[in-house]
Amino acid sequence: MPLLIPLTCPRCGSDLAGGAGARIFLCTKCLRAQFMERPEVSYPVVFIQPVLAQGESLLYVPFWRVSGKASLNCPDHKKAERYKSVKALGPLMVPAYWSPRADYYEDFALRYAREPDKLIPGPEAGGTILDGVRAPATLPEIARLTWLAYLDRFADVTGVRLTFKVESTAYACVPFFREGRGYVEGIFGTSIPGSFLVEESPVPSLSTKLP
Amino acid sequence: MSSPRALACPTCGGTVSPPLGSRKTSCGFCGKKLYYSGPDFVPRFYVEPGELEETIRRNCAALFKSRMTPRDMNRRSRLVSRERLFVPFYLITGKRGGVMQTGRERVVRKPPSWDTRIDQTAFGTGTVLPSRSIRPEVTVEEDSRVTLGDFQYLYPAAVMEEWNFSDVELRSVVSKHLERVHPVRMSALIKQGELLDANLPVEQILAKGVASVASTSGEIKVLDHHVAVVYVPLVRLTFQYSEHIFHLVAEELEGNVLSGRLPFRRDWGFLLGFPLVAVLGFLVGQSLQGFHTQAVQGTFHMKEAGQVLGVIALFWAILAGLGLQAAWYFIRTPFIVRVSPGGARIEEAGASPKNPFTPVNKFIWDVLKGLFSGTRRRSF
Repeated sequence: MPLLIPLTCPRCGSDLAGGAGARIFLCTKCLRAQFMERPEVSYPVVFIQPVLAQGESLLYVPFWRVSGKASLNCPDHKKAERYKSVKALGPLMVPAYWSPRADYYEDFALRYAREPDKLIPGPEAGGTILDGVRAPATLPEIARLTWLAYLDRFADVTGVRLTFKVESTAYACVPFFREGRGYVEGIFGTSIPGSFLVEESPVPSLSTKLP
Repeated sequence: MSSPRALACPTCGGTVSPPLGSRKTSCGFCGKKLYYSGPDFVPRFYVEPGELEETIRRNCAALFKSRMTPRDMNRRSRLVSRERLFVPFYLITGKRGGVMQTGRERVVRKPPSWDTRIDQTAFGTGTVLPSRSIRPEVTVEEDSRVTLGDFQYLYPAAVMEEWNFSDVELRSVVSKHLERVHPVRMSALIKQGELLDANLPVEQILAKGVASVASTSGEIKVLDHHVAVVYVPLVRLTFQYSEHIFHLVAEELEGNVLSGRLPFRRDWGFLLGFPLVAVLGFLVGQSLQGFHTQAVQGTFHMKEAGQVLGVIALFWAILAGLGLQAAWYFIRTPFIVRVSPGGARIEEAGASPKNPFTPVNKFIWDVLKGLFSGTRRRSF
């Protein structure tokens, strides 16, 4: 692979948009996202409509939306019966952004997957988009393990074989609102600290006041 | 992951230098915007410093008031300059996951079997086993633990020995404040302070960090990882006290002083000298009082008194010699107070000058050696 790749859309030829540290760039005309280290594949960009309109300004946070089919092979009939009563997960939302705080990732991914009806695609509402960095290569394995972890809550998964076949992958931009030093997530209204999302900020200068 | 020195623009073939701090660059000839996909690229972040001026001032003042430093240091020290330093750390983050097969212990209390009851009756007890005779059994059940989560690994990216502080303390402070990281352009960072070069090879650290988060059995694997350099702000304070210039380095996340050197309080020697002189004076007084008593009682003999005085004089000479040498060492050796996160300690800042009493010491030593060896020779 060449070390320098032109930042142009292979479909329409227009410039791709992304920040200094981004590895995923967007064509705002075709609404396609491209992981630049595999430029031959592009993914549709989906903007999720905010359910709650609040906060100071809108920031779109990118997730990989993975839709697919989970198939289960469970030799234990009792367990299989239990799993049948479990509500199926919707498309999985795997964070595509980088965060130094790991503790919110799983919460959001599972919450979105359990209530997929709340994630309604719509037009872009004019916010900035956070840089996407995470490679899509591991999404099938992440999806498989997310399903297994979900099923393990209902019955132990020893002896269970689960396969996940990815049917479609999209680059979903979920609305968040800046509020003070933190953010409010635009679907469920969850407040999160400012440290969750990493945005560029000016370096404060050293005070000239001497102690 | 060696960095290429020059790259060719895929559109016009012009030479493009590898970008620093951003994956985005452009060709200087055709103006085409380009993405740099080189594996040597590492995104740069910095930890936002806290508003800690007062805390750092208080911590410095506490050190100045230490018993090891001169008494008037807090009053007479003057801050000459303060400079910011950015120390690099590698931050490796990523996702790991897998299924671990584990065993889960369970305590099962089984009721006594029918056969046991029959046997018990046959031996004439005639009663059913009491409940306390039911023994609990521990069984191990198969259990799988699904792990899917993020990991974080922080490691210094530069050798910090020259700064005289251990990276362990700084690493634990940085870990607590990682929520304050922001992406940063190197040009903006350079304007605010001196940057230490990230000179430790990332490959080794990556191998170490990734290996530490995966399980040895191979059930938990690293699915994805991301390497970044995080710059941590430190402040180097330069003070003047009398003719001394000294430095302290503090981190700007919690305000702890990490390293530095302070002048040593020299009057400790004099303070220690007072009780020593008092003890010696007491001993001499006691011996003289003994002579006075003998003179009053009329039991004073000139010959014995001469011997006693000779012993006292010898004792005094030895003490005075040792004291002078100790004073020489104490006054002429450059001592400093070394500051570290663990506290302050006294250290020699350089070699002591040549002892002027060395020839005298050698002479005394030779005489003593001769005396003892002579005695031994005589005894054989």
